[in-house]
Amino acid sequence: MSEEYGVESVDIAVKSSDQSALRRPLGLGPRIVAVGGGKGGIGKSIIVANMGMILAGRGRKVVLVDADLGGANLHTCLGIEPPERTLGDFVERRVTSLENCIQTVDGVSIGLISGARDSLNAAHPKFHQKLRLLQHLRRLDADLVLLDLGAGTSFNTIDFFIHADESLAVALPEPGAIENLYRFLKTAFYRSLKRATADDDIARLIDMAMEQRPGRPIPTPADLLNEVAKTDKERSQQLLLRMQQFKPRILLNRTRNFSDVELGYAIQKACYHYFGTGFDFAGFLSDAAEVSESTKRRYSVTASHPHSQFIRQLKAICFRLFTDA
Amino acid sequence: MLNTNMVTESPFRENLYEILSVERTATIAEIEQAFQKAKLVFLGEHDALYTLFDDGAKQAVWAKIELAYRILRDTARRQRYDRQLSEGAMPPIDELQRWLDEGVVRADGMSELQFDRRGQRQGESSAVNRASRAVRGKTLSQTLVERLKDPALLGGEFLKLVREDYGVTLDEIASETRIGAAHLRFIESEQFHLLPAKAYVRGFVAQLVALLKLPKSMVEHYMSRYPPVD
Repeated sequence: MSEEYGVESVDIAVKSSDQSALRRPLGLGPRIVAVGGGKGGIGKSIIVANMGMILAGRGRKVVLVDADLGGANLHTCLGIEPPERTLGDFVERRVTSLENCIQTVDGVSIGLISGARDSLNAAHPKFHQKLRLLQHLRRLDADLVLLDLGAGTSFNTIDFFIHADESLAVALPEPGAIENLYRFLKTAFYRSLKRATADDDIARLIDMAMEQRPGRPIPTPADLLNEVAKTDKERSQQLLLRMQQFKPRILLNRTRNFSDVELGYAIQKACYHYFGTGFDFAGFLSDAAEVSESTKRRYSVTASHPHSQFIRQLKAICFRLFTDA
Repeated sequence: MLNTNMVTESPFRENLYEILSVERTATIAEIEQAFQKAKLVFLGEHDALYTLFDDGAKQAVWAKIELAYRILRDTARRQRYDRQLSEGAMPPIDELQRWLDEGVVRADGMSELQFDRRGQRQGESSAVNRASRAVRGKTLSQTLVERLKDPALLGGEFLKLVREDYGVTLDEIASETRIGAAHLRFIESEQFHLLPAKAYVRGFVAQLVALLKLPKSMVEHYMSRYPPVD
């Protein structure tokens, strides 16, 4: 989590001036959707690929970005070869325009910017590189940009997650995956709070809250608020408003039965009482043989099983989230 | 030290409807349903809480949910709460807790008892708070406080002695906590094979321990009396 300490000064510099560049200009540019979640192998890439296919099929111009630098496999989920030019080329300025990295997928209006074939160096872009990438993504000629984030809770992943217009956190109905989801959400939550605060005292308290060891001084966001309120009620109120702007959506993948679905709602409830802000439960996707089968054969599920339950559920989710995109 | 079942003020400043995640216009049935759902999550050991809440934090949330339920489920209290809310006031937690004790007299002079729909089931509503009312303000007899020092004695029989010391009946506890009287009896007699899954029992015992103003550690002492699993 500390790989970025070298660029903290850059962080502070952009806080005031460039923060607006991270936000979507009203009515302009594509809507950026980040799909993350703490664990690998929970179906992020499959979801992104098939969401892209569904939205493209509905006439949207979609660009998929495999932001899992170093672990890219989105092309496989789409059933195409890894592209020539990649995100890494852009990050390391071997190409100047992101448009040059887009590989089109046959027959549909999907572009893919892949992280495949990248050197392992590119897996850790510095903050200003991420900022540049986000700015360029906002200039792409598209309705929607879907970001497939890497596994883990490093700031590489988290920064894209918190600066997207829409953030989806994927989880599986298993204790280990839920634990990872929570770690991911906690990191994103505190990271976004910290990036939004200019107050050193609060930043220090947030750092304390981010510690994960047992017996830590500030175990929950509620404790953080109480701690800030001890010295300044006003600032605690402002912090609360900040917290309430953190609104990721949770998507439960590979559900097998009704109790798995119930678990999704329980997660939502638990998060509400932990983070003090209501997360939307985007929906659930059933565990289905055709999904793994399609992946093994390197087809997208949308192409091979267009009427499967998985695709029907994903369509419903897309419809709900992106009616206005 | 004995802890009390007090709800602390939440820094999130949610209103009671938000705590239960229901609309301001929710029907009694919706409130009931929301409460039962929350109960499944926060009473027991739900997977969704894993690594998010420790026992203390979980109990704090549960206490909050219970308070919200007991205010909103009661028509007179809910009206009083709504009135304050629509005036832009957010009654502090300790005030809400007082409401539960005092019994609200409605504007038309009808008593809360007459108005409360739970009155349909004879006598139940009058017993709603009787258990905590009986416990409030009382202290445990010295012999029982002494017994607390010896973990080996902290089982079902001890819970029964404490309950009797406060002069509370099982039915009073049952109607207040909504734990079945039979379950309470089995908890006291340690007839584990007649009780539901361990996780639920832990939740029941936690509620009982809080109601009887016993230290939280009592829950674990009690649970350790379960026969070892082979």
